Amino acid sequence: MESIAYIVYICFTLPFLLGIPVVRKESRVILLFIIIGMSCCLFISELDGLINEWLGLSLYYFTTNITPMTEELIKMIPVVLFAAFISREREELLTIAFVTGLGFALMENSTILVKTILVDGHVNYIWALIRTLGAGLLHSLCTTMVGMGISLIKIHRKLVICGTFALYSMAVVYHSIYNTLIQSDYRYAGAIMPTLTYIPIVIALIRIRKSSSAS
Amino acid sequence: MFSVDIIGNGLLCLCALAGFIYALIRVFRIRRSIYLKMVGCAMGCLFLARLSSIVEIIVEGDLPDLFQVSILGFIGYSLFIFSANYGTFDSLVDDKSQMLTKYRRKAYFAPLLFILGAVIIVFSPAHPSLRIPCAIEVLFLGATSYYDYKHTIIPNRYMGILKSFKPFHILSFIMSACLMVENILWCYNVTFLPAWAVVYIPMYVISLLLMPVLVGGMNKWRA
Repeated sequence: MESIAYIVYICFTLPFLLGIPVVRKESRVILLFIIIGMSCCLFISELDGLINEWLGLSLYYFTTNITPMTEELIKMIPVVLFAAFISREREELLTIAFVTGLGFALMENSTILVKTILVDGHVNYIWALIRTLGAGLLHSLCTTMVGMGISLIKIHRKLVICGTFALYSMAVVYHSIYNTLIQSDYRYAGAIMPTLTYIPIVIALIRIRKSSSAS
Repeated sequence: MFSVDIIGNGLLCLCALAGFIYALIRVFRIRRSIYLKMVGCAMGCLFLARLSSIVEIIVEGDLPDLFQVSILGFIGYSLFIFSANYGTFDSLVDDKSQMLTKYRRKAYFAPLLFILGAVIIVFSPAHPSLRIPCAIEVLFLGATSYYDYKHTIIPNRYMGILKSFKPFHILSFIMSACLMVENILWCYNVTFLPAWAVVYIPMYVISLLLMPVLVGGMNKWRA
């Protein structure tokens, strides 16, 4: 049987890919980075499998300590490259970072959804909400965190390498806390954690945009 | 349920959270200096690292003697402070003149101390997956401590900037030293409570004071 992940990947990326020549330039970049995010997810799921096989760690330890490092690293690369070669403008970086995480989350959620249906068929609205507002939002937030930070340090070249690694560390720890909570008895705390972080970030962004347009 | 680990780490987490909230309110504003924002991010990293430890203790009952992601959080904390000092502050206070060479040399004392700490950790009986990342964390803290120590001993030449920021650098240096000792105690599996108290109590105070002292220093300098 062909891998479900690859089938899901084709089902989702192909329409996005076909849309690229049709849509406007700004939307084209967004579609492209959604595809990149999805490709990152597919790549890292394969790589994580190999790393875990090689290290021989328990699945719990691996998902709480190693997976956050590999996933955040792979998601960060397109954002860093975009900042290095294309643009360091805050708005653009935030968009790119968010949609890369979104693509990653879309791919992960879709694969898990199909696998869950095939294994026990037990999915409902609560499951969907927890997956979307939990893991779905988490991936976008962690990448946005890195994007926001890169836009913050854009002026000072001396800050770039250390600052980027520091931001990566921050995103990894945040991701790890979520993974630990979601697999424990406190899973609801884990599920609301990304939403609780998302709300203040959105409020802050709205305030920044308002004050920027006012000045 | 409420073991010493939970209380100790929980208090550290709360103090770091207080420091981070202060940073969010006072520092993350438009037209605030990048230096303040970087230190604010460092407080965020410190809080997340502490939160990661406390979540692990609550969920698992103890911190396993293996690599923990919280170590990356502490590395992130030290890198933010290092970046802030190296990337923005240092160029204001050190014009690379010959006159300051002796202070630059003296400042190497701090990283040497941390290298010694890293060596002690490397030879600890802990699992390699714990002691090696801990030693790496201490080396990063050493790099941070170089600038903290240098900015404490260097003469005040530029419009009182060093004098205003000195309390912050002293606190930051003590924090790095405490984090190093905490790693040593962890890797040697020390259960002697007063040893942990000696490390934790200054960290409670510094986590609370670091941001207010920095903001105060900035305001004093501008005044």
